[in-house]
This record gives sequence, C-alpha cells and structure tokens, in this order.
Amino acid sequence: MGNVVVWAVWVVAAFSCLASGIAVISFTNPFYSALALIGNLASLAVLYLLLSAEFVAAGQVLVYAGAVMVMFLFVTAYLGGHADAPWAGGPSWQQFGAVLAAGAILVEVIVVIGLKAGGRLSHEAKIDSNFGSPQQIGRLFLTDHLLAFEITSVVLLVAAVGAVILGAHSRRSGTTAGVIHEREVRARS
Amino acid sequence: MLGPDIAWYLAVSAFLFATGTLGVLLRRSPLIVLLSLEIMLNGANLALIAFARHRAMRAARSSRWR
Repeated sequence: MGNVVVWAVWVVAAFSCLASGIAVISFTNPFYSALALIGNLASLAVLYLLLSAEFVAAGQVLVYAGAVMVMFLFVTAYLGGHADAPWAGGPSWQQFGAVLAAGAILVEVIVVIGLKAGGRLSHEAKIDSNFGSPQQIGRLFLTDHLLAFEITSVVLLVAAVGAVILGAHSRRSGTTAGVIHEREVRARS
Repeated sequence: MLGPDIAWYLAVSAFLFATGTLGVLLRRSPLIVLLSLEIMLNGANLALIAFARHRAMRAARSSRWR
C-alpha cells in the first residue's frame, strides 16, 4: 500500500518535472519560462523528499524557488524581457543540430548508465532514518567540512562585493541600467 | 526502500540534463539560456543526491554484514 502511494507520488512529480522543464525552453515569454522553472524546482523538491534528502528539498524551495526565482521574475518584470520566437521560420540547420546534440547527450547518458551500471543499481537494505536530515548536515558543516563551508562564505562575499562594484560602474557609464536609473530619478522629481 | 529504484531517478536526471542542453543550444535570449542552465544544474543535482542515497544504503548493508 505504502509502496503504491510512493510510486504514484514519484510518477506525478517526475512527469511534472519533465513537463515544466520542456515548458521552460518552449515558452516565448521569459516571464512564463521563469514561472515554469518554479514548478520544475518544486517538483524536484518532491523528488528530493522521496530520496529522504529533507535538507536539500527545503533549501531548494527556500533558496531557489523563494529567492533566486523571485529575483529572476523581478528582473524580467523590470527590464521587460524581450520575447523571441524559438520555433519560428522553419527548422534551420542550427536547430536541427541542437536537437541532434541534445538527443546524443541523452542517449549517451542512458547507454552509459544501462551498460556500465546495469544490474548493480538496485538496493535492498534500509538506511538509518537520519540520513540527509538537517541535524546531520549541520553537524557535518561545522565539524568535517568547516573549511569548505567558510571558504564558500568568503566566495559568496566576494561575489556580492563584485556585483555591487559592477553595478555602480555601469550606472556611472550611462548604460542601460544607468539610463533606467536616470529615468526613475526624473520621474520621482 | 519504498518507491522507485535509483535507475528511475537517473533517467529523470538525464532527461532534465538533455532538456537544459536543448534550451541552451536553441534559445537566443540570455535570460532563457540562464534558466536552461539552471535545469541542467538541477539534473546533475538529482543524480548526485540519488547516488548519495544509493551509497549510504550500500554502506548500511555492508556494515550490517560485518
């Protein structure tokens, strides 16, 4: 009974994941693409929960779907994303090559998994219930992987400072962001 | 373990990765190329988590046999 329920949840999550992934690359409006990516991230979080990786699922929903995607949506709404028609003008050789390359990657990955790992990818044992739990991951962050954790925080700080410096530079030199800023200031006064 | 095998998760992650590759190669708008890159990252992430789960299960099994 429980197995059937887990399978049903998995099938729904996997299909909505794949469908929203295809929707992201086939919408012409970037705003709808970003909305579809939020659905993709949410269904991936369900898959992570089925793999009993609760911390990653919560981080996926909070950080990606919460923060990063909202930032994407703000950028599209602010700059007015330019809609381009990907499927217009018939199939050119570039589009044909792109589909061929993506299909080749898919077939390659599937064949490698099937050939090299064929019968050995089945698991029969149960694992302890705190695998991937927030407590365990937090303890690992502050004991075994403390150096990597701190280095990551420094890298994020450098990225934030660099973004601020780049933004200030482009605002001074009158690029798109500067023009928008000037227009905003003029509208306010 | 309840539910599907690791191979099913790997198939989903391969499909996600191929979808992202198609988006990166096909679309012109830089924003949508970034979104497609996010899809590729998510596919790789799903494979990593599935393998981590698989490895933890094998470790649990071998420690029980010892």
